[in-house]
Amino acid sequence: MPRRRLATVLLYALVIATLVVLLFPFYWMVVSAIRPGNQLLSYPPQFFPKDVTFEAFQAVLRRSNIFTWFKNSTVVTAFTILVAVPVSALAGFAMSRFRYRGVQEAGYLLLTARMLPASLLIIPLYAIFAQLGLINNFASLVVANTTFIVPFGAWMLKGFFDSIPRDLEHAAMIDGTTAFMAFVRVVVPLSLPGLAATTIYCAILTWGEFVFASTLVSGEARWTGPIGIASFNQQYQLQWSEIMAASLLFVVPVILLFAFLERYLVEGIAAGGVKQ
Amino acid sequence: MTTAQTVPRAPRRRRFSRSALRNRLYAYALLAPAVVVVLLVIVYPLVMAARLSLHDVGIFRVDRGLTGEMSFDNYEAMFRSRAFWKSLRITLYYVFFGVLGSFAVGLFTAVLLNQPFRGRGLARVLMVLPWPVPGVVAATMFTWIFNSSFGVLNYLLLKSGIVAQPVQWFTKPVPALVAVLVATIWKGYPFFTISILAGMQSIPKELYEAARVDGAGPIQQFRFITIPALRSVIGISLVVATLWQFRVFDIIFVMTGGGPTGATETLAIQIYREAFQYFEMSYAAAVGMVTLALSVISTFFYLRLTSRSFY
Amino acid sequence: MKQRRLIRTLAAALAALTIVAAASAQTITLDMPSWQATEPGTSDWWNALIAEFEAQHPGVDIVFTHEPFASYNDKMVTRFAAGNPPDILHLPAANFMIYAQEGWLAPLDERLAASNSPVLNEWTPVQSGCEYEGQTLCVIVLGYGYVLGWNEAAFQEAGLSGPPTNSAELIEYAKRLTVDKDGDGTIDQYGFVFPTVTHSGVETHTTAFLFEADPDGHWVDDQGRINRDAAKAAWAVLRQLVEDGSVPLGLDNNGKRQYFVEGRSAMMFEGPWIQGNIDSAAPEIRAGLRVAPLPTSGVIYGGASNVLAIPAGLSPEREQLAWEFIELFTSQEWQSKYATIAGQPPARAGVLTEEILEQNPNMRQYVVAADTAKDYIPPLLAEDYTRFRDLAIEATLAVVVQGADADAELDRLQAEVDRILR
Repeated sequence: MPRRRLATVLLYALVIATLVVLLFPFYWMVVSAIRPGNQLLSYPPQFFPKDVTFEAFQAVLRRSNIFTWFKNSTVVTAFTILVAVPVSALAGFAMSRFRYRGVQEAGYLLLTARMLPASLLIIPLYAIFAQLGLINNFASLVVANTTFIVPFGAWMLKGFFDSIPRDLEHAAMIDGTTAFMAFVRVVVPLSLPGLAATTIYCAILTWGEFVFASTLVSGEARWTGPIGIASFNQQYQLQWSEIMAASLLFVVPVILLFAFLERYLVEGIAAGGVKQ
Repeated sequence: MTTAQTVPRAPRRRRFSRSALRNRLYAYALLAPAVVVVLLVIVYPLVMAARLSLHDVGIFRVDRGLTGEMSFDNYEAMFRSRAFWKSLRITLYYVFFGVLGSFAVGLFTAVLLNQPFRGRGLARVLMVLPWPVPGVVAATMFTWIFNSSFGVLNYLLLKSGIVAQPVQWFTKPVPALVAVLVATIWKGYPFFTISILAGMQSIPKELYEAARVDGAGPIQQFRFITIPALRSVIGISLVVATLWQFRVFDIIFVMTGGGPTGATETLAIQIYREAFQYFEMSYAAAVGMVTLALSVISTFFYLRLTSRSFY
Repeated sequence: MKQRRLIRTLAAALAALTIVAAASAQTITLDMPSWQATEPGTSDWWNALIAEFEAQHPGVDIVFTHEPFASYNDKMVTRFAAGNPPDILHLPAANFMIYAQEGWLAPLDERLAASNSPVLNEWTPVQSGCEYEGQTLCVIVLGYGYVLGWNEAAFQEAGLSGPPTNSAELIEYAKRLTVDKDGDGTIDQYGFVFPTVTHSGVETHTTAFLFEADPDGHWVDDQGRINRDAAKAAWAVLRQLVEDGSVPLGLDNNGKRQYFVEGRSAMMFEGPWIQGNIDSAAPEIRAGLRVAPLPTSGVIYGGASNVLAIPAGLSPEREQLAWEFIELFTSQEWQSKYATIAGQPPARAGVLTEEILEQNPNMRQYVVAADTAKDYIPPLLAEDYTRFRDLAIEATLAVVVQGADADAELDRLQAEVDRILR
């Protein structure tokens, strides 16, 4: 069937072309990281650089504390996911199943968390966390990040829960399970794509978060990745290749997480339960 | 085959019974953690920002609080400021084209990545690589890509004959805005890709099969099944992306600092400047209130537009 | 017998414990954040200074933490505003004013007088920038004057014998040094480079040439009137460079340094930290990089780079310790080490011996520049300098890059200055 084969070839071509265009800056980051730091401006640009050096990676891996940064970022991200995703799921479920007064309003209220620029938030937030004694404590980062993730997570999951018929929960409840267990045992497994997407979103946001991580926490032992990367930017010097190398390394764990969660972004897990 | 209709309101006759009350409490209990966390962290700053905008304070000092008369002086000054209106205009362009661009690229890539093909998993992972790159790093990267003398973009544009002279990306207003938009869209599209891709998984295959049996082509399937089914996902994604876009700071600040001559100075940049460079935090708060208002308006707009449930 | 030994052992243990407890009860940690904690050169000097201080003060520990530079002031202001300042404040000088205005810094005059501190008479002239409303609120760590970095190899290729000494020569040389080496239509080397995007650094170059045009004046006179002739002269220099095509456009300060370090620009203006840039160049290029006085007819642009201060409201004990740290910092030994370890001109006068000056051939230039520098902050606009700076940057870019009319821009700038000074 030549038509189908043509379609497949076109599809592959389109995918590859899209990847090439969209990922070109990423490729350029890689090239910048493996070129000597004093050769950024060679012209014409070398798409396949001649002088390759892994000095920048070595400097980052050996002389900086990148593993500490990884560890800290992982701790903050893991705890944020553990808090933010369930909280979002609960809220999203309420918004989906209950149309009482206050439920929809609460949903809109959640979104206000994302409406003010960081510049206006940072002093009051610092003061709040100082009052709570949480300055220099990762708990403050977990709370702050959760605040910004829950609004999106709740609405996103509301949409997913909306697509799951209530009959399924009612059926489970008739069998004797409580409403909450029906939620956990029936609805949640059917919403895996939505949960996966929310988890990814949470991970990406927390992993790359700078403003709170820089203000609420001090000291190199508590740096997360973005702060560590920023430290290569000195007052009068920009350690260019190190920044690119560190960023590339830093991106890897999140990509691995995404690769793991990608399998849940598959049709059939959700729709499977809808068949009558 | 039954699908749930829009959720019915709580039946009248049960309104005052105990189980209705328990239902309500259950609903509020589910919402409570989210609301508590968010309010705890956000209410104080929001209220402080609103009050701050009505006073005349250079730096908001927690030990002193806000004293003195309240007035609308900051708002007056703001509405009379040429820089403010210019910044507002730039912000609207930036948000509109940034969200539109990210959405378009995100939708396109999501559709692409929803097709079955070998290596799809890898393609999906690769497609969202821009997302976890720190904004500052991406901005620095794009600054060099867009460099007028040695940047690879001008090299490609010149070589392919699209332009005759190197484009002065950062010294002319419109190219600077374009450069900043490109960097923003690059960082912003994977969010749409993932959200839409996830949303697409909830669309039952049967609907497409039924449509195909009825003779609908792929474009019609897309228009009449995919898009409507994705309404709520698209809606919330547009909202969140717009809210993010209003607040973007790093990318613009690193690439252009808000210039040239204010061509890329969005409200977020202006707020930072006024708050942390000129130390006029009351004025910055007033501008912040405008951003808040715009955010509220766009949120309602998008949510109303996409609120009709598909299922 | 056994009992007595037991009692004696217990008593000894108890005594030991008491001493340990007493010692640890006396450990004080001083919080000192800085953006230079990992900077090559300066961080070595800070760490050595801190080690010496800790050795002299057993029981006192300075926690020297690094904060990224770009967000440094935001964080410090947030901490002060929320009532949680550090114990020793290391600050970029450009940010000093807000701390002074908010009363966040402890006055140092009494202590300076009581200890007959070298800061009073033997310090860099820009120390006066640490004064606010009659009180000395900080001590300058690095006062600088700008220098000219030039690429001797490029000069020789262009047939030029030495660096320019005034702006007219700068324009002429820059033109000759802008070459397309391989004839492919792209300029491989520019004669000069300066920032042309909205970041700090643009106004630096305007001010440098403004000083040349009017050595005794500044941006504004004491009536608040802008020095129009000098500003126009300065803009004319930069505009000529742009029109001649001698400078690449669209760069910030980092781009400027990158161009110079890669030999893509034959000249650039920079402070004494240019040494770090030069050291990072590839060996074949580094061999040709030199330092010369700024080509502005002997009037040198300069100012203060960073300062040390003591936050107000510390406990007397901590304030005393912070002061003693500053005292150690001002000592002859540690000031001369600023040159040998950090590679920068020390703030204290007369601490550099001939040997030290011989070690780094450029050090003499840095010292001369620092000693003769004219402070870039216009006296009348010190309190609103950041706002004025941004306005000056935009006016400069409009005239120099976009070719706007200088008089119109000056009118606009004057209106803004009037509003600031009202």
